[in-house]
Amino acid sequence: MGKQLYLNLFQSKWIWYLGISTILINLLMALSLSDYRGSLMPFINVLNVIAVVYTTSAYLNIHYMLKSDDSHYFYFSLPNTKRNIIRGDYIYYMVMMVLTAAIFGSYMAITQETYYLYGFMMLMGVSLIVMSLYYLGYGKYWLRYLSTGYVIYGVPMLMTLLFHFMPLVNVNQLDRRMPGMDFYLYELPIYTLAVGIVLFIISYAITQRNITKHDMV
Amino acid sequence: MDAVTVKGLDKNMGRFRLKDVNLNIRKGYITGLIGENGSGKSTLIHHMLALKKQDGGRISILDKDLEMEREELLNRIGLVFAEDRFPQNISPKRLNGLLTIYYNNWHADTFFAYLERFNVDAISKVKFLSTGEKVKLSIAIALSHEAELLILDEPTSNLDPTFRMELLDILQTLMIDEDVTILFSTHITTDLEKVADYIVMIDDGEVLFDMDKDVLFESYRKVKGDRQIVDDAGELLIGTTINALGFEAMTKEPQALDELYGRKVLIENLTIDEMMYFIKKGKRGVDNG
Amino acid sequence: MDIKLSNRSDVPIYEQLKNEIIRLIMTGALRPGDPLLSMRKLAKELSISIITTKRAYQDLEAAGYVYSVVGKGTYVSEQNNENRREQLLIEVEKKLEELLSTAKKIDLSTEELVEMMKVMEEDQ
Repeated sequence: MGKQLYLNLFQSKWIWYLGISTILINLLMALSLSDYRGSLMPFINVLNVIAVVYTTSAYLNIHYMLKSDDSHYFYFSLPNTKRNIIRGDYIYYMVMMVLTAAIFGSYMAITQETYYLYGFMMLMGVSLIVMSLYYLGYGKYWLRYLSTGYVIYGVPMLMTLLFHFMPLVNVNQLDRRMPGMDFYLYELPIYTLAVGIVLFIISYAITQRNITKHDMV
Repeated sequence: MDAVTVKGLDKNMGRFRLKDVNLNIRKGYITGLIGENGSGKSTLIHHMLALKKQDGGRISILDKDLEMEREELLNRIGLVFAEDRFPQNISPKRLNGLLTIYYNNWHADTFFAYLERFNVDAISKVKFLSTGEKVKLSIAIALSHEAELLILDEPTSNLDPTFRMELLDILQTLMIDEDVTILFSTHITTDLEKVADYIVMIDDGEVLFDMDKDVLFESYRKVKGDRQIVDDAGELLIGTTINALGFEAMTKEPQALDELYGRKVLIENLTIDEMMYFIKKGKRGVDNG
Repeated sequence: MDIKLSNRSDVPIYEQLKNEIIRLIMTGALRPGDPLLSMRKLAKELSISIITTKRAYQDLEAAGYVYSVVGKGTYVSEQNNENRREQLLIEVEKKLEELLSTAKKIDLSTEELVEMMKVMEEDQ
């Protein structure tokens, strides 16, 4: 597990640099009393979105890197059990979640608005679900069908961004008295996150069981 | 103990199949694996590393079950792959750091010594190395973690002749240790003709033979002679080829042919390439010119 | 060990190797008790396969020219050199008889035979 985790962290160092820079920039912004804050916000927002996209899709990006130069032949022939490889991948994902949480946290330090927490939970819930679904197929297909993985990731996450996160942020302009709005914005994320966690665990168990049955290359 | 034992390996990959492959790679010796492109050599090797999973059959390495002891076994196997299946965006120096974590017995000093000996720059990223240098890097890695089983998959196709000789020299020096086994898959058969102890031939997903090289080339000889003999000697000849000068074929009964035809036939030694040629020919039927 | 092997000869490599070692023993270059190079080291020096040297050493041991000590190596046996020479002379005589009788079948004269032998010797 440790070997695979190290490998993943090693291969994704640019995502780390991006994530940590984003956190630092956010914190700087949060502490700054400058008048330029307002005009810089659009760029900060874009930066944060990009950073979160990368941290939540890190597992896919690493697989893409392995596949693009066929280096998976090399890396998978290094001493490790297949179960440890999967374990390392799942733990890596959790580490990335923590990084994402830190990005959100530092962003919230700028805006001082707590409702972003709900946005974070929703995104994380969806992210957990799509990651678990991807790995359910991983045991059988390993690095084949990566593009499907990106689609499984991209479409739901984009939907969530557009149809949950954006409304959440613009909540003042919306009619909050619409039936179900409160539930949709504030309670659904909790359930989604719970479903995501359960699916994550189930996916882990199933993938671990099937992992020795199929080709890695 | 055998270094590798393959029993009843079956693998269906659509257009291509490995059929009931049974094989023993003997410990302490050099085994050459020969066969055309597409015959199944690489696929077989992938199975030995648990990179591919068989549909049926068992593989054990150094008497341990491959799948169950994969981590320990891969520690003891040194692998040289074709250079286009190698990480490109990393330098040998960074690789060293990574491999220290992966291998129980990684020797960085040995690794860098080989790199220097092979003239491979340790600082540039792999993608900036030439093809030959990439293979040399791969070899340096395989030789730096006390591997007992060295598997080389077409290592010499892109190497200049001087380095090929140097590689053979390195391999033979390693073999002085009785615990080292080498499996050498190649279609540059001249390398094997000298140093291989055993030869395994794969064709179309099947093992055609797995034999002591000396015994193989004592049993099978090349025979040349006049066309008329072909009809008469039919069964004694394998892969008969007829040309303007007469016929050429392989035979398992050189003495019989010598007794029957004396001066009308010429019996010569085979090279590995010729043997492969006649065997493939024989599978397709006799050539009647 | 000064051994010369030829790739082009019809004689199998392990046979050549055996003969070379016997020659070294017969001429005194290798004396009783002298160690031979290990099989594997010899294989490397001569660029031949290990199994070939193994076979040569095994045959030599069976014929009494050398003996091996587990864990230590292979050594030249006490030779009764005169006896050996006698034995080999007898072998040469036998083979000459065979040769002469075969040659007779195709009317090959002794002079022609000697010519052929000279040519072969040059090739070797």
